[in-house]
Amino acid sequence: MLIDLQRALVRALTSADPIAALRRARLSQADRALLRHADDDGVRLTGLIVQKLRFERICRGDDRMEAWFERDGKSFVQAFKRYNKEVPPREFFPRAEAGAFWQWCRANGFAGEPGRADDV
Amino acid sequence: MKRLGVGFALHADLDCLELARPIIENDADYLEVNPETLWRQRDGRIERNDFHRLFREIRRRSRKPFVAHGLAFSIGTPVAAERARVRTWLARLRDDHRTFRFAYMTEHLGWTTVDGLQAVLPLPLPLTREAVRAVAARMRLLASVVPLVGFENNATYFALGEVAREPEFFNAICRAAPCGMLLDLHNAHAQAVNFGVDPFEYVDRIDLDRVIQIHVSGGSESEAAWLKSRRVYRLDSHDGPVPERVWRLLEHVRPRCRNLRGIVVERLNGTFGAQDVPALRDEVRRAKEIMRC
Repeated sequence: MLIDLQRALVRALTSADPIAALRRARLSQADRALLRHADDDGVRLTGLIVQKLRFERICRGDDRMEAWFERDGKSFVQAFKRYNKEVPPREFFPRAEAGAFWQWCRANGFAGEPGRADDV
Repeated sequence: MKRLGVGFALHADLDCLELARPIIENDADYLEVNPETLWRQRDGRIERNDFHRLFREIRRRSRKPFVAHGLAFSIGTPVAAERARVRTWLARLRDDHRTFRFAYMTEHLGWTTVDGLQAVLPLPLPLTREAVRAVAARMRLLASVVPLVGFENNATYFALGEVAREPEFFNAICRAAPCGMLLDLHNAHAQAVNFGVDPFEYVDRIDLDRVIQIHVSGGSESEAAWLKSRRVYRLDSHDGPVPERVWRLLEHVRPRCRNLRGIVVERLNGTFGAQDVPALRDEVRRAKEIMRC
């Protein structure tokens, strides 16, 4: 069924290893046959773009996130990678995604701008 | 049928609006907006953001028609999987349509969300009857808000069927729902590059009488370092000039699109500066020349 295939794909594409996640997914033979058209490189690239769009939503959603990235890109990227791995992407609006990221950073010891977090 | 001419994509970005002001005010016959960029989420509710008021002002001052180009109604997701989100989206679109009186509305053919997980990028659909039914149901819902609607062919980096068969899939959706099509020629070009199909044969197999709008834009290539295989893909990134091959596709299809309302030149905010504006204006003028044919 379409919805089963979509569930497997969205979980895979928002995971660290989309190809492995798709191989593990429980799907009907018909859905597996559709997936055989999907080239591994294309799936990997799509997963990277999904991540990139999330990263951009965070930077666009709050000027302070962008400032953090510009000031200390290494720690920002480190925080983002862990956040992306641990928190499924449920926010569409940039400000909401930036807020969720910031809350997660506070709870996990990645404070980019201490003392100003409550403004988010 | 009312022909709008050549439009320009508006972005909810003050710097971009200022840069593109000569095009918006002088060159564009109409303006295309992404409704979701005029919304914000507050306390669990989705409401108008500050750009909503600004765009309303642009519409009032310019007296130019607006068309909507949705980003995330996720027309390939079966409605039953997310009824609450569908209701919310339609309510917001109704509010926007009351404000902007869209001449028509288009959406990306694909799906961006399921079970609350947001890919944001429109993802490919299998070329099946079930997918046709799912999209047709969504198009009927959109048409209950804005009477004239269309879906846009997508550029994807993997497929769930033979890419060469996509035109038949588009035609099947048009037969199943009261809708037209937004033919994105850069996306057709990207599909041709990434999957090795002939772009002219691809567009020739589409029922061009259903095309209500055409998009032309540029794009770029992915970096070889992104993938271990170092394979490079053509990206639907709207970040460069319209390639000559896309212009040739436009010249090829334009005379056959008998119900075409307009052509929109797309360029993503943040990907052009003041030095690029003259070239962008030239693109709008070139599209006008072809639109008249």
